[in-house]
Amino acid sequence: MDTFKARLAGSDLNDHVDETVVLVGEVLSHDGSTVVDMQAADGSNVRVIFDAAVSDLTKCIEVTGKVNADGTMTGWTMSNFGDNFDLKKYGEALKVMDAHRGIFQG
Amino acid sequence: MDGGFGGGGFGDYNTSNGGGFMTGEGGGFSSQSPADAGIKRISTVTPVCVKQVKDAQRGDDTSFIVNGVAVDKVALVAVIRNVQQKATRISYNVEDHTGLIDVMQYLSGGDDEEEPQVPEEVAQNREGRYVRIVASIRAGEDDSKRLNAFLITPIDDHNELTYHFLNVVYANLVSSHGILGERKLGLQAGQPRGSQPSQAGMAGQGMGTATNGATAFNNTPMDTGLPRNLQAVLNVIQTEGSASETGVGMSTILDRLRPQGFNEPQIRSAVEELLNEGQVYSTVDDDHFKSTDD
Repeated sequence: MDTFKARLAGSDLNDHVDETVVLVGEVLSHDGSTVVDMQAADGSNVRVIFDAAVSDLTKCIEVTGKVNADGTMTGWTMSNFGDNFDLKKYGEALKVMDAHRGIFQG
Repeated sequence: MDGGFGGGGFGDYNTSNGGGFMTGEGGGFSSQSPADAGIKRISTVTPVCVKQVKDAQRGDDTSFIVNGVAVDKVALVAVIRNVQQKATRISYNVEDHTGLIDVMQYLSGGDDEEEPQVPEEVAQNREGRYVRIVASIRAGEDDSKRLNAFLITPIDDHNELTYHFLNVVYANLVSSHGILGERKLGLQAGQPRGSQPSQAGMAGQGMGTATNGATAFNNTPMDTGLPRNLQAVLNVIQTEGSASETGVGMSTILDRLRPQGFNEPQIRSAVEELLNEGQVYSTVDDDHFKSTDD
């Protein structure tokens, strides 16, 4: 399905180069403009470079974007997930979803 | 990352944080046994993802088949990508990253002369915002699916997204393999049932008191329908509200159920839960209700 986007845990980004994916993580740093370093659900660090400046980020964010060959992401859309999002449980849920991926992807 | 699905513990999320695997708001399940089918079909809300809605097949009646089971209403958690408001309805385009789908929400006016009002919570449903949707599935002539929403509420606690996805997996497992413990009741896994595991019936069935997700599933006798207080309120709304455009008022519900031993907080809590689950909706004001089955 053309609108399907894989929800990734972080270290599996390299398996999805040039694909549009969804990554949820904790913001480690933000340059105040387009570059955000985040820690993904599996603990890996990912640099996201948005195509436009982002602001008012909460502790956890969800990014939709393209995976680059160098392991960074080009971010297209961003949703604030607040300061109380449980990234660890989300990571555990991703494992469950991956074990039953037929439900979520065609 | 330590722990697993059960040991990691989803049980520490309870009703206090507005979501959760064990709560009426965020997830959980009940089902009817086949023996119940001849009595009454309890309307249920089935947690699904967009892909499942798009893959749904038409059932015998107005229902759609998701994963081999007829569903009445579905619940999704998705992000709004587009909103268009018209005189009598709001059209949304939403996605949960398994697919993209159109959702229609009709606005109700006080009377024919009055312009439909946009409720405050509906006005908060902006592009880029995650929302929880309770809806029925509709299909066009080309079999493309869309949703007619009873309820679209903004999500403040995004942990609800996590719980929703787990609920989707669990509902799928139950419809494929049967409910854990079902064999003890003499039922066969995968046996057709009148309803899918739902979000409506889980409250008060023991899941909320468990401290461990896996333990909760094993110990919960999930062969009953709605909890008693919810069923009692739903019965009043269905029987006394169906003939009226405005439905039934809260004062009537209180009058009918107090003699049955329910107190006002219990009744109001049950109404709130039925509203959240999309079983009922408010009509002319926040104190009048109709069943979504009417």
